[in-house]
Amino acid sequence: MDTLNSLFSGFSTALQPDNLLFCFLGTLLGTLVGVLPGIGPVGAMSILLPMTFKMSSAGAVIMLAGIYYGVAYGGSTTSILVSVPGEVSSVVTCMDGYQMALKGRAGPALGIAAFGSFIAGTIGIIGLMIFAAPLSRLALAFGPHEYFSLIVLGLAFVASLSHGSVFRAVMMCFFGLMLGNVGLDIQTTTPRFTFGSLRLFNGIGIAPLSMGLFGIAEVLVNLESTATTSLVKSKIKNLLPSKSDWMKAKWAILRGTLIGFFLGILPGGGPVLSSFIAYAIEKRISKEPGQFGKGAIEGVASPESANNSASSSAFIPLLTLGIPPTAGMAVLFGAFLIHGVTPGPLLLQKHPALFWGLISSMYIGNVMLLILNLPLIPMWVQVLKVPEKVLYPLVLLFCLIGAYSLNNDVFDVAVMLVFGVVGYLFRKFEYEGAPLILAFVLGTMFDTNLRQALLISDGSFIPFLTRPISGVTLGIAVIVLIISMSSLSSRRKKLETP
Amino acid sequence: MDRKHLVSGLFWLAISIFVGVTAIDLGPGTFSKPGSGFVFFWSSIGLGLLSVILIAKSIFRAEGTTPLAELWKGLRWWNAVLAIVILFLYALVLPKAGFILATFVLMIVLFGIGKSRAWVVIVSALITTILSFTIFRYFLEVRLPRGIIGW
Repeated sequence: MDTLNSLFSGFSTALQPDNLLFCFLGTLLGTLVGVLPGIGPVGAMSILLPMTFKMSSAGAVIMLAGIYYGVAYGGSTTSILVSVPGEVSSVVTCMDGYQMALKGRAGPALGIAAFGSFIAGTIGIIGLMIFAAPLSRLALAFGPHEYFSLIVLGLAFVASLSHGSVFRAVMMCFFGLMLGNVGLDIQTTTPRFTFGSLRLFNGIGIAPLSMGLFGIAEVLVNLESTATTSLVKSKIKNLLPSKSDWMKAKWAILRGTLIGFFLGILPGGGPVLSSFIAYAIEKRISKEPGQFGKGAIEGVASPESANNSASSSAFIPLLTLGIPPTAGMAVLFGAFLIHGVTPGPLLLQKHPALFWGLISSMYIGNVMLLILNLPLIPMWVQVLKVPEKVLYPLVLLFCLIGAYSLNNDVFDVAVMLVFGVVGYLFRKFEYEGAPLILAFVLGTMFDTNLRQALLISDGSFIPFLTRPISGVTLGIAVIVLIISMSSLSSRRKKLETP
Repeated sequence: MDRKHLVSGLFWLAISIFVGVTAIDLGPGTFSKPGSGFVFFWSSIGLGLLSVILIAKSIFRAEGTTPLAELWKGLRWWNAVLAIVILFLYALVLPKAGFILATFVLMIVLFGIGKSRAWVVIVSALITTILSFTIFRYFLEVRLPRGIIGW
């Protein structure tokens, strides 16, 4: 009952005209980002982060969250129509969605993707609502040992679930921890790696770093690419799936929702992993697995439901524990901090209006997304025709102005450009930005909690293992890393064996 | 030999040495009284160890040697280089030249990468500059540098 009352009071925040507008803007931009290949949600959220400074904290968070979960809707459009995923979490949708489009069934594919996303997103938000409060109460019992272990677990998951080498992902975690601690030491006020620059006393900003690493780098990679895309030319009709489509897809939607919800909570899991695993499971249990890859509607329904459900559940560790599970959530974490709000177990107590306003706005946002993604499909198809030679210069300009507007200082622009080059080189040398940015945002917490814990235990590491939550968490982190490194090495041996 | 990862391994080893030495100056402290350089010091140890392993793996890898140039083969890498150079120059001249002038020149170069006709590039750059100035200056109230034009 308390939860329902809180939800209704949240609606009073979310339904304020300016917050409604920000929710609409966020979902619209999220869909646009999802539709357009090249810029992902992290890049878009990073680019728009400086624009939220003049907004209220609720408005800023509502808009950025709208971008994050809106992307999962928009990505399916390009996957189905062009066989180019607008977003990484929609890669799997290409396999069957595009085949359906080639058979003249683009409409039902787009329709089931949108409806499945809506159902999954709504169920995901209900789950968020149910689990958030109890998890916040549990987290209040956490001390520095528990927080440190949770951060280690989060980084271990992100590293182990990275697309490339786990080894290099762990290296990125170390580098991210270093970058995250640049600036004045909170405990001793000693300048650390500021090189005498007053501008670095507050550390490296999350906005220029993430804009560079994800926004600028993405554009640079696309500028040098010679790939072209071709749009499905057949007319899109019958957006409403038929009764037989629903009969085939209903269990796929439910399974995808559940898989996405639980995987989305895990750091590093998120929409991408959820969509792949949901598709793999759906194919494994299907009575007609041979149809997958040839236009099976379940092959669209399941991953699209999974990635939307995961987008909702990813908010759980961020809001209740203060641990962002994905790079996008890390940018949202930065937005909270910039607006003077610390996500974590005290968020619900200190800022209930913001917490419940955000959750309520997600319900509203899901309805907006359904409307944006079905009747407005023809509009999104036109957007796909915007030439890249027009789009990318505009994105770069937006990044430049965004970085400059942080402090009216070209220093932030320079930082962004440096990390843009770093991000570009990361793509070339196969390093991932997600572990780095997660470690970056958690860097100060990692340092503070580790040092406090060691002070309390007089330098002993035994309490990290003997305190139940901390011990179990660290144990899981070690197991996760060992399993991922050993499974990678056995896969490599198989590939190398003639 | 895996040249790509050898180069990156050496880079990260250099970073870890630099950070480790600076962390010692900061004072890593002890386990019972960790200092300001504690996390930096131990992170540099971790990064350094992993870098050494990466270097060793890349030297002893069974695959044939691939030149680094392969990473840019078949790509229009000069577009990326031109873009980043012009972006850095933009940051350099922005405070003195002002937003309008610097942005107009920037957009001419960036639209020019797409190899459109000259008049299309100039008109597009002009429209973009005016629109962006209007939106950011008057609607979003971002304080943009006035520079030599004074707007």
